[in-house]
Amino acid sequence: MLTERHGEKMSNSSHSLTTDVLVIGTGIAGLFAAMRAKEMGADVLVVEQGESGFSGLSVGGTHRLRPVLPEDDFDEIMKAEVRENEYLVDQDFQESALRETWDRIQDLVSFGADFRRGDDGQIKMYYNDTLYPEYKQKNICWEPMGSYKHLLKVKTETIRRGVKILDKVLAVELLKSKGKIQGAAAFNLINGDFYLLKAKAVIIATGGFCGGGSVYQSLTGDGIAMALQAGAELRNMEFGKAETCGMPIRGAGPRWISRLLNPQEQEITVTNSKGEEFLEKYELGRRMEGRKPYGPPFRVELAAMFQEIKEGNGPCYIDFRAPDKESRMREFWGSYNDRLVTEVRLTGVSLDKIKYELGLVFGHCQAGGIKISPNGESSIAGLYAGGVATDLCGVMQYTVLSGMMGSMITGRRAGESAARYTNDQSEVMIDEEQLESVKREMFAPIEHKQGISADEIRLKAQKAWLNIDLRTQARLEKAMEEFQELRKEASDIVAQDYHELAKCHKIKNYLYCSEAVAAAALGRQETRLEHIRLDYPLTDNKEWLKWVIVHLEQDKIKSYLENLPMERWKYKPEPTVENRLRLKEGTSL
Amino acid sequence: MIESINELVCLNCGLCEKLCANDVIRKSNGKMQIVYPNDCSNCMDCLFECPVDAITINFAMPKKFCAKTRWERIKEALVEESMIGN
Repeated sequence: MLTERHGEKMSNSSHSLTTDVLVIGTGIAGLFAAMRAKEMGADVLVVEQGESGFSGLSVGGTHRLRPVLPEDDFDEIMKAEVRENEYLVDQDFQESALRETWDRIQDLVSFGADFRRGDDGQIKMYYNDTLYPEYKQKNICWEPMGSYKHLLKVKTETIRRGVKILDKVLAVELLKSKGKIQGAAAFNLINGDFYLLKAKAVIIATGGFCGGGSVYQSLTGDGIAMALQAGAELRNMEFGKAETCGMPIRGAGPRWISRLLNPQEQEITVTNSKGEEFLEKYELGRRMEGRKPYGPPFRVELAAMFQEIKEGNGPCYIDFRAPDKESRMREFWGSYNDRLVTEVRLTGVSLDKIKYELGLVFGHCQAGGIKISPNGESSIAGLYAGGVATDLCGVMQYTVLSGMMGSMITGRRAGESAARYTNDQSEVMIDEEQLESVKREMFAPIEHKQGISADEIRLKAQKAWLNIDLRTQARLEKAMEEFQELRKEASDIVAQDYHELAKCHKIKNYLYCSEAVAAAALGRQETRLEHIRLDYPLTDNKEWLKWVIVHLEQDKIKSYLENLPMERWKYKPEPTVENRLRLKEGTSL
Repeated sequence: MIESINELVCLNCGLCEKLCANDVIRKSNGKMQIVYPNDCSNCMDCLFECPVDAITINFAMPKKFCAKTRWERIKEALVEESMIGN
């Protein structure tokens, strides 16, 4: 069927494996899910598209965690964190999860991962600003920072507990019978072997989705798209993380700008082309009260910058000089600083240069994803999810439960729920007809003699992303049409080998997730955090307490709004909550 | 993107292959080889973790991964939007 390439054995044989719980992904969420399910007595199999222990965002995420300590004023933190989450978080989840953070850190320490400690031997605390001046989050730093070795320790513990892991296996489709998930179909990236993975429950822990193509290229939202196609609902897909770009840094360098500024050092200025510190002109919320200059994480600032450029006041610039820059960086980043400074220099940036153009794009959807209950259940039977492939129950970026912290907690809960569910399930039923068609579809790009390549689709998709970057009703509707068209075009996608075959499936997932972001962005008619609607440039402080839910209906992405059950939740928005992004009195563009 | 792996010093330990999120490097016939250079995203993990500094990166970006292009497009379109009164 194929020509020999790169010494690969093109055997293309089939394997059928049966387990209670199948976990897809070996980042921190997947490993915590697998360990917990095993602990609960289930037989657990994990598949990983790359190399377990080295793969996923968790490796690059080992910088800091934001814990809540047992002795902290829990009610105060709960109140502040609900507000940081724009009141769009599931408060049942947040309440129980905040109480769990310290236990998960203790787990990590017991697996051999460690954190920076003070002279007294205790884990050292750092503090960072939030959207509100009266609330600072605690931070602890991994030691060493940014090392892949931490995740490897979690993997070692997972294997020690008897979990089986298959590397280089990409799950392509979830198998469903009589409304229940019954496993997944996958293939090996090296030799193309087909894998039928029969499971009573499946846990998706495949990480987030990065649209537009600027930062984390491998995050094509595979698990999110698989769940969507299997009938699961997605939530909060309109929210994400603003990523820096536009600076004259080559390669992946742009992401490092945020790391040039440690959380304790906010001494930067942001100006427009007229040299004005333009953030001063806008009502940006209480974050800005009595505090200047401003700094990352860039959240509300992104919308103000868009306005400035639109009015002809662009481009905008960032000045991130600070006294004793390098020694202050070292204080926070520790031994990781050497790599950081070298990396920044290699990518062409001088720490002494006065200012760089500031570009921000909607980057990584770490906020939205598969809608899960506080226990990690998706909206379909037998499907569970953890980590940033999920919506983390409404948790936004830069909060205590975002990123790795939320991933450990939701992963572990998904593991527990899935294991419980399998106790009541009998034999796995595989629909033979579905299986045959899944297998045919999976390898179809290899069989195609000619057609469009995954890279060509990707380029087109990135161009279509402009209509998501600049969100208006008309542009978003156009984006949805374009992604639907690209999905049709991708039916002729062609692959020369199994590496390309993986890219073919990943780009299809990327298209589904992109369309889901457009659909969700259409549903939220306001500007809030990184979701910027040019046709609704202000926050809507009356009607915003709704979740946009996205789902697939006969291969068409649909959305609806779900009211948050605020009546039964304790923490409610203050009636005077400010309307951000309005121009201050006496200022003009 | 990744340019070369210096065969003279490479230990063929496989760490770069494991760390690569884009499946760019593979061990073939016992040797580390750059198989899919166009999928390199310049994350520099291989460069910094290589125990013998065998890896060279040239920072050229394949067009599909170019962040600058995306930002330029956004800026241009924002100005256009204001000119046509949107």
